[in-house]
Parts: sequence; C-alpha cells; structure tokens
Amino acid sequence: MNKMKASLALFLAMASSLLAQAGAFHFFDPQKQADIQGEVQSLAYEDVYGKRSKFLVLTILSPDQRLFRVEVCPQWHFENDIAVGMKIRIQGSLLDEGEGKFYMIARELSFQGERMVLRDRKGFPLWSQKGAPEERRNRKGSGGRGKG
Amino acid sequence: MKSSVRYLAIVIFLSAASIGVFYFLNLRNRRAVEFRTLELAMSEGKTIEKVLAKAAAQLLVGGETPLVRFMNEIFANEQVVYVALKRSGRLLHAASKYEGYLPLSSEVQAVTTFDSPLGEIIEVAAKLKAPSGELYSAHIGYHFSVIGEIREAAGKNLLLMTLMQAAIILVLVLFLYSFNRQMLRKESEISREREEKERIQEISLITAGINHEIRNPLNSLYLSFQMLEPMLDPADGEVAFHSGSIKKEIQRIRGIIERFSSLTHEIRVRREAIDWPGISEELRSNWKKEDPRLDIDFDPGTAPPLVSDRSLIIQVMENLLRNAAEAGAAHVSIRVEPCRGRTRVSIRDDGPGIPAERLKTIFDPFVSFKAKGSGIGLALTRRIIGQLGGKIDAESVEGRGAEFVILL
Repeated sequence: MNKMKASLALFLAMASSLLAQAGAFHFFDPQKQADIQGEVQSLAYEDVYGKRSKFLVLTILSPDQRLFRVEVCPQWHFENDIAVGMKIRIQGSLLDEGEGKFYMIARELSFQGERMVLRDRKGFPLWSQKGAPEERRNRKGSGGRGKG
Repeated sequence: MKSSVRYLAIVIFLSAASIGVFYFLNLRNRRAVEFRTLELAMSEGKTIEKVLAKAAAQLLVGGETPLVRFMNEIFANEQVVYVALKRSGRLLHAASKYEGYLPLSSEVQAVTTFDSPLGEIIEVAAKLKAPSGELYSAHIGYHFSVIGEIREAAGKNLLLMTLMQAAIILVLVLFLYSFNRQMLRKESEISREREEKERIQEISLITAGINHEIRNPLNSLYLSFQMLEPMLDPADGEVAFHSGSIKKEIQRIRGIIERFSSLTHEIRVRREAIDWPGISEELRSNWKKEDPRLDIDFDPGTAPPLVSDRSLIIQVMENLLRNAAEAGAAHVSIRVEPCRGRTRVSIRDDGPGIPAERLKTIFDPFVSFKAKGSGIGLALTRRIIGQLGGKIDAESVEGRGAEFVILL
C-alpha cells in the first residue's frame, strides 16, 4: 500500500513537472513576427534546447528602454564578431512573456553593415540544413524545450 | 552529298524530338506518381488521425499527463518532426526536432501537407473532448521523405535513361549516316557502271561496224598488196620504202581495230594460285624487250595467298607500266601486301603525275591525256579488274608521280 502511495506521489510529481515545462514552451510563430532595434547589452551561451548545443542569447536594450532576450543560433553556427554596445536590428518571432519581459527567436540579424539570415519564413533553422555532424546525431528523439 | 546532309539533319531532328517526348512523358509520369503518392499519404494520414483521436481520447480520461507521455513517445519516432498538444487553442505541450520550429497549421485540419526545407511535411491533427468538456487537439508533424526520394530517384533515372537514349540514338545516327553514305556510294558506283556499260555497248556497235566495214576491205587490201609485192623491184630503195610503209600502216590499223575490239570482248577468267615472284620475273623479262629504259622495282612482299587469273593480272600490270612509260616515267615501284583480308597491289611511278580534275575520268574509255594515247588501256584495265572481282583507284599529286592501287 505504501509502495502504491509512493508511486502515485512520484507520478504526480512527474506530471506536474512535465506540465510546468510544457506550459512554458514557445516556438517560432510566423504569425508573431516583429522587428526590433537596439544596443547589445550582454551576450551569453545558454542551453536553451536541452543539451544539444549552447545557443547564443543576446540582451538588447531598445531606444524606448525595453529589454529583449534574443535567441540567436547555436554557438557553432555563429561566425561573426559581435560585442556589447553594438547597434543591432533583429527580425524574428516575438513572445511577450508578461511583466515587461520579451523573448525573441531571431530570424535575421543586421549589424555592422552585415545581414545574417538564421531561419526561413516559417522558422526552420537554416543551420540544420548544413548542420554540425554531432547535431544531426543528437537530433533523433530529442525532446522539446522548456524555458523557465 | 546534299541529300546525305539533309538525311542526317532529319535523323538528328527526329532524335532530338524523340528525346524531348521521352523527357516530357517521363516528367508527366513522375508528377503522376508524386501526386498519387501524396494522395496515398493523405489517406494514410486520415487513418492515423482516427487512431490518434481514439487513443488520445482514451488517454485523456486519465488526465493530460498520459497523453503528454504518449505524444513524447510518438515524437521519439525518427520520421516525426514535431508534436504539439493544444488545450482550448492554447499550446499545452510541444516538442520539435529543429530548435523552435513548430509550423502548426492555424486551423485544426485532420490532414494537411506543406513544403519545408526538409521536403514535404504531413501534419495530422486530432480533435478531442475531455470528460470535463474541454477541447483539445493533438498534432503530429512527420517528414514525408518518399516524395523527395521519388524525385531524387526519378531524377537520377531520368538522367541515366536520357543519356542512354542519347547514346543509343547517337550510335543509330552514326550507323544510319554511314549506311546512307555507303548506299549513296554504291548507288553512284552502280550508276557509273551503268553509264559505262551503255558506253561499252555503243563502242561495241561502233567496233562491230569497224570490224565489218574496215577489217574486210583491209584484208583485201593486204592480200592485193601481197600479190603485188613480188612484182616490185626490191632493189629500188624508194619502192622498198613505200612498200614497207604500206605494210606497217596496215599492221597499225589492224592493231587499232584489235585494241578497240578488246574493250568489248568477253573477258574469260581462269583462276589459279597466284605466284607473285613468278609474275615479277615474267613482267621484268617481257618489259625488258618492250622498253629497257623503264626501271621496275617489284617487291612481292608478304602477299597473302591469292587465287586469280595470272595472265589477266600480267596484262593489267603491263597496261599500267605502259601507261607510266608513255607518261614519261623512268622508275616504277610495285608493292604487293595484305590489306583487310584482301591483296593490295600498288604501282607507283615517278612520272609527271595526273592533274586532280583528270583523275575522275582517267578510267573512262577513249579518255587520254597523252599525245599518243588511245584511251583504251586504263579503261580495259578497270574492266579486267572488275571481272576479277577487284577494284582499282588512282591517286596522284601533280608533278610527283602517280599511284594505281588495285584491291583483289
């Protein structure tokens, strides 16, 4: 009986964890495309899609003082130089996370007179076409993305 | 030649048209296969949607978690690109194999297809109703690689087939072209032979006339002269000179009549094994008497065994030697060698050669470009070679001698 209770508790815990992750899932929504401009405040490499590959994530401060976290692309795919303080223009799918927080999945970057296309119009990641070999191997069966 | 080029142009045009039609039919066929495959996939998708709806509805009785786990299990499948679960139109759970890529259709349709950089993607979406009355939709997007594979395979096959067809057509065109050229050559040879036969027939008539009208009076004249001859004074130099001239001229007229007749006489061929060194010996010995100035270099070489008419071959060679001597040659070289299963005899002289425009007609009867020529020797030579089943050609560069090549 105790075993059954423990199993039920574990199952409920797992379910609530899954639901918590699932509720936060967001994706490149072609219906929610936006264009932002601003200055790079910070750069970081984060595990935004599990442990597949670290992603470059920028924090952008717009002229109207709003902060955007911008998910760019896997670290291995980004070959340009970018630094804090640079002016940048980003087109992508924008998610309003509430409480003044904005998250953008970038489709195209323009900075230092250069243009970098990262995804197609429906959000397909262009790096997946050439793809890092280990990326392709890991792709099989890898799961969704949860963002806290 | 013009007709040959026209013929080749028609064949090339037909070949190109045939490749074009083949390409068009193949493309049409490929599209039909693609369309039908997509139809089958849509129909399969509808079945999957029914199974998904049924399974998901049953899982939903136990809450959302079993359904999420079920969707994740489906996602583990290699062909699946993404899965998503919506509750009242809002995303509840999703997973994608391509970072953030979730091209969900805006409306929930049982089966939809769309293009992607991965190729065709099929999305199956099942509408569900929870026991609580809430509306859910479960979406599965999977990569439909078959069409891409069909396109790739069909593209490769099409290229291969087109190349093969082009190669076959090329070989066919070349074969037809060569066949056509051969036919035209043969046709021209037949027409030339027919013309020659007609000329020979005309000559036969003339010769028969000459025989009838000249030979008999000439014989009477010679007989009368023979009867008259004893009555003449052989000591009288003038009489002796004139009687000698009459005899000589009568003999010359007889010789001319004989040579004219030889063009129309039936040539009888008596075949035997040809002994080239023997022919060489006989030719040298005969020719020494006729014209010792002409230097003959006869090399029987590695001549293959040949069965033919020895005396006719000697006659032909003597005709050609005479032709060279009359043209002013001092040296004649004769070579006998094998050539593609036949015997090739080359008679080359160091005379003044034959102008290119005269080469075409050199074997025609009564065509001669020499001051003392009758135009019978080479015509008769070709007739004899023809009777022996061979072929004779002349090659020459003016000023650098002439070469007659016989193939037996």
